[in-house]
Amino acid sequence: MLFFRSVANDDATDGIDDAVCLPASSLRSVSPTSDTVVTMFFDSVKRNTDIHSDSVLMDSVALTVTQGDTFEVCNELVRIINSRPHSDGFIVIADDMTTTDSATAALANLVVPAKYAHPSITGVATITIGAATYNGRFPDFGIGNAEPTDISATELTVNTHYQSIAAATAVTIPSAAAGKAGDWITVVYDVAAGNTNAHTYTTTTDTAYALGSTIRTNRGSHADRIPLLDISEAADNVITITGATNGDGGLGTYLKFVNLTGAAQGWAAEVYVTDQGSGVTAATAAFS
Amino acid sequence: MDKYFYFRDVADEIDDDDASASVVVPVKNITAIAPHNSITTLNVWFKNLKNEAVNDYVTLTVTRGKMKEVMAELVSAMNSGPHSDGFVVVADNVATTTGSTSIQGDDVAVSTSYISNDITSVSVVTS
Repeated sequence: MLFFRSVANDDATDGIDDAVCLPASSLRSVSPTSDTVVTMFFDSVKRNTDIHSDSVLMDSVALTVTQGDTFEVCNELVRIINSRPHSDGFIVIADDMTTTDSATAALANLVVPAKYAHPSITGVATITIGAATYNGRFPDFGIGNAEPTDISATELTVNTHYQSIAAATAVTIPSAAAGKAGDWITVVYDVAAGNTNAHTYTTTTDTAYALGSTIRTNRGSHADRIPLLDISEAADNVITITGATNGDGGLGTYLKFVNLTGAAQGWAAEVYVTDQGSGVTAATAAFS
Repeated sequence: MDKYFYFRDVADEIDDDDASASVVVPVKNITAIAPHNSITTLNVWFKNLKNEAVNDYVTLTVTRGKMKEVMAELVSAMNSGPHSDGFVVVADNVATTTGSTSIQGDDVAVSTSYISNDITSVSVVTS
């Protein structure tokens, strides 16, 4: 495990961007990012790299180094990572701490030397650990291995597939913060929405869907049905699909929700609305 | 041999009934050890218990000023051996047993157990 600390006073060691111990096995690469900075890139601490690893960004630790010594520092990093068996495995690569902290007064505010694995390492510039977010991919239908549940005027349950009803209904979406990144919900229309019947999907706790969520409508079979695209903006927390005999709410309409952050305003939505009947009625599905 | 870390954050064994009460984690799945919003709390991050999108962690309460020392002790425990069966109790808050037919008996007072003198408690938190 490789230890890094970027703060000078131990009383500031209170976050993962201040100090971190990372497995050498998570190291992906080491490279200069300027002529005085060598950056070590690691697999994500907080995001599961086994899930959609292609969309998970690397974490990193940037070391400040003497100009002209990037090669020597890279060489030393590899040498020290392979320094076992004469080690318990705890390897201090860079520790900027020079002032101790303790609840015992005699042990606090003592001056100690910073520690670096190589004389040409002069400090830790930054420790960058990505948040526990989900770089969203919307779920496929059918992965729940269960028959979809009818939507109703209640709060939907995460990680559940739903299907439509013809009647008007006001559906609510659970708090994003009450769940976690990666949670999902889907709704597929196997029953067309009845004429003038509105289906609303409201984030009652969150004040908005994740910015950039989309509603698209299809072209359909009638020349007058012009495809629409609505992209969510601040304060857009309602999706409305209003059934029309010759318009929105046809079979195959779907909504996909995925929780990106596990925090407020974390629900991203992808909505696709098909037509029914002749399709002559203009699409109206939109955020509000 | 693979090492496994054990954490339990209930005081009474009768409450040891789900993954937020206790957990065994393969050391190879640990992704980081780092402070967590305080100078006395240390997170051990590991790959999600159920392979969900974001990783899980447990939070250890540690002595102020001993963050780095506890990290070093945890890493040393990961690499200790060879005289070990691989099961490493990092932190166990249980002080009361349960089950009249259990090995330890019912309502017996036992000592909490921490791998370091500078760990004082644990909270098993999943993301």
